[in-house]
Amino acid sequence: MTALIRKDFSELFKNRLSLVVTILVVVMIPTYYALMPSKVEETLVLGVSAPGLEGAFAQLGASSTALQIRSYNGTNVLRDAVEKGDVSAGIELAPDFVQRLLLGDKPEVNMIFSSVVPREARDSISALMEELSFILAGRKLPVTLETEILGEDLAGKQIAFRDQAKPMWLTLVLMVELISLSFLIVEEKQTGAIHAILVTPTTSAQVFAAKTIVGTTLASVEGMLVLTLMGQLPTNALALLLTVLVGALLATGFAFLVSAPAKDIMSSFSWMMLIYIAMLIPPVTVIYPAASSPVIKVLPSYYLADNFNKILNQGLGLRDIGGNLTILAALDVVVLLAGVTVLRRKYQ
Amino acid sequence: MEAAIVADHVVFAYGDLVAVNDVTFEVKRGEVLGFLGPNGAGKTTAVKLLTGQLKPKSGIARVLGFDMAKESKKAAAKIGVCFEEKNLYPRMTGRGNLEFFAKLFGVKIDAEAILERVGLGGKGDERVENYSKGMRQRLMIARSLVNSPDVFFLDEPTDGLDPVSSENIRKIIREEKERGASVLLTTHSMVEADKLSDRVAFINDGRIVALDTPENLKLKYGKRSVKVRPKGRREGEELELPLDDPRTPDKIKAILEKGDFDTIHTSEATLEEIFIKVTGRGL
Repeated sequence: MTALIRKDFSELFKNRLSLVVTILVVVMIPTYYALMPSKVEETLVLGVSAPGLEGAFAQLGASSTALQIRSYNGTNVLRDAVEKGDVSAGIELAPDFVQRLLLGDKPEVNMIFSSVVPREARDSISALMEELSFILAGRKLPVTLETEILGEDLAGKQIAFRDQAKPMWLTLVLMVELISLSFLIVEEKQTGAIHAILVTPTTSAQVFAAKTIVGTTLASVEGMLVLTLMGQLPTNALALLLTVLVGALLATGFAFLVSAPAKDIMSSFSWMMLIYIAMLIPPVTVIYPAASSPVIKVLPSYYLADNFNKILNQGLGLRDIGGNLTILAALDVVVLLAGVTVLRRKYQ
Repeated sequence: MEAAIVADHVVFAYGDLVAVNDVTFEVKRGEVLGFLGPNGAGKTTAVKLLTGQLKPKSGIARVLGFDMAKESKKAAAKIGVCFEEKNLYPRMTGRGNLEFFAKLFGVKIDAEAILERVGLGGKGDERVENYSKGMRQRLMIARSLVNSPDVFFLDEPTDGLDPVSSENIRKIIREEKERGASVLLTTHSMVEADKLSDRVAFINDGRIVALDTPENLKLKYGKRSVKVRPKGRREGEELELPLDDPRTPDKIKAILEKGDFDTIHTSEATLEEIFIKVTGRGL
């Protein structure tokens, strides 16, 4: 079996397409992760053009850690700042704003938003301006606001999108590795080399065992390498290693499954796309939990993504992911057995 | 001593299509059996059954005494297979291919000596993807030799080879036969089968329709006659004198005495003609 394992590794690394895909994944995902913002911007930056009221606005900005006020001299400068994204929104007040306010008029306030500002942000900035108008008119709000946070207050320590997306990156890394193994299997089928092996004393069980070892090792090493490059490994290393291993085994099982019906590299690619689309749905629901449905739990990658999320984003350990690991291991066995069964039939 | 290869009433079907239908034959130790038939006749399926790649629906396929449906791995160490498809690892070198398969057989080999034997001396370090079609075919033969088999299954072993290389491969097959190895030679080439085989089997529609030595088949199915081309006549205008006609010896004697001929020779049917006669179709 050592000869089979060495041959499979050697063939994988001699295949340029497999090699390029492997290197690209290992390099690009950590690079992309490093380039994405590591913190969630929790400060609202407002630009204000309010002749005569700069002091009042500056005082307002200084009184809050979540609000930053920048003064601009004139409409055009304020518009430029909004367009460039220097501020989230611009508030333009007429020079006679306070006078008219005190006289009981309804002076106009021009709110300037960039087209990328979401509707809910616009609404909250507008509400803030209404509140400011009360204060500037020397009145007090007719209510007393009390704020209660249920659970841990994550203000100032929100999980950045790049971190929310970690389960997706890692599921992708493991699943991408099925490309290399599938190409190897399909090529051996296409050339008939597998038949030459199976007329030697080598059994098909040995062939599958070697490929399982090669596929799982390659995907695991790649997964751990990506985790290391992303600086995630010190977090619950054992829990991560186990999750990566069962994930890699799952990818190997899928490689067997997609290689069985594939007649050539292109058809193998088409089958792989189906697996990718299905397997990448659960990690997306981890990013957007509101979109999740209980049905998603039938997909094995749900347990993989959920584990990554629990370990990497919630700081949970082996004890907390044990249930998921068990389910995933059971699903690994099902997928692997199905893959081996259909592929073995094709070997004949 | 039991024959090296035994097919005993072997039947195999792909769904409703019966590919091998009650096939019975054997190949003795040190014998070359030519297995002849057109595409789709069942040759490849029969070889798959005999090498343990497929299991018969009924009947027994035995090699070196092992039932290939149950004990193919026991026999595999002593079997050498040269497939029709060039199922080599193209990104490996020629030597790499041989050494990998030697490891699967658990044997140590002198790869260069084997490569030299098939005419690939000095080419072992080149990647197979850079080999010509003929070189790949020679490497296929080399691969079938790595475990010094007692039984060979050779499918079109000289396919794509030039006449000199073909003759070299035939020489190797004869040497292996002299060593005591048995060979099941699957081929389309009647000439090749005639040159190499001790016996030939014609397979058609999954059945063996004739099995005997080439000589016996020619005697049985061919015409027994002498062809004489008198002087001044062109090729194809020969006189044919049946050997079973009691007047023929006198006629031949008269011709020889007069010396009025350009050529005189016995007329034997080719294996191809016999195949057509037996099966009603060509190869």
